[in-house]
Amino acid sequence: MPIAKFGAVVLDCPDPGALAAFYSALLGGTPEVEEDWIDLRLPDGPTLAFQAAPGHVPPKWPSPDASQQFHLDVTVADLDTAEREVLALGAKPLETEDRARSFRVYADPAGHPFCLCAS
Amino acid sequence: MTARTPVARFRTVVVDCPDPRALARFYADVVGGTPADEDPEWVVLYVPGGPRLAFQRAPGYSPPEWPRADHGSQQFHLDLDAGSTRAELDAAQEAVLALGARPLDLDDQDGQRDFRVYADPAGHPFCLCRIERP
Repeated sequence: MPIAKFGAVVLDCPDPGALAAFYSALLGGTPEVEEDWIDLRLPDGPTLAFQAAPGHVPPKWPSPDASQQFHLDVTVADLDTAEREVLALGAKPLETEDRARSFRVYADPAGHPFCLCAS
Repeated sequence: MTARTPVARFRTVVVDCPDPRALARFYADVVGGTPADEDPEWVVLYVPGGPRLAFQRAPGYSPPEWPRADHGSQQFHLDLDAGSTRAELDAAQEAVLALGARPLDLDDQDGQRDFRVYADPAGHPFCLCRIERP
């Protein structure tokens, strides 16, 4: 018997509205605003939440002492197409040189690493 | 917001830690599921009614220093639903502490606040939340 039920994955960031808009475009769903907190219920996954963290400093990836701590893996049908789309949405490439590999690493607009994974 | 086709589908929440098997065991005890631990570097936990979690070994890993937004930020955390009553929250707290979680902020603010903050055994903050049922 588990102790608790899974609720949400919460991302710290300087601008919850901007980051929720990015993940909404990436993964779907409609951001629901509650003061300094935004919920994004994914159509195909858990609720992501975006929390304002004043003075937020993004992780330095890869670095264990400015650790990413967590990251999100997301699945796409075509890496090249998805890469163009996420870069247009404001993502930055972190490790994308190996074009034969089944995943590539990007930073979201607040600097959290995430991976596009080939389905 | 205009309806548009999403770029990707959600796959996994990946948690960095020094000991993937140990941390996966902790979260399995808290939210259920059975860790698939054939790879000690990457241990997957399918959470019942929740997402796929994966625990990834990060050599030299430093835990966050909560609450800090600058160097040492938690970056992400997990919110867990402990039930709708104070008694359920108390019971969940006792259970997670017995599993090796550490209290970070247990102040209910005289019942005004509906969550408490803990660190998991690798040091990641997580919340036990009291969720009102309609």
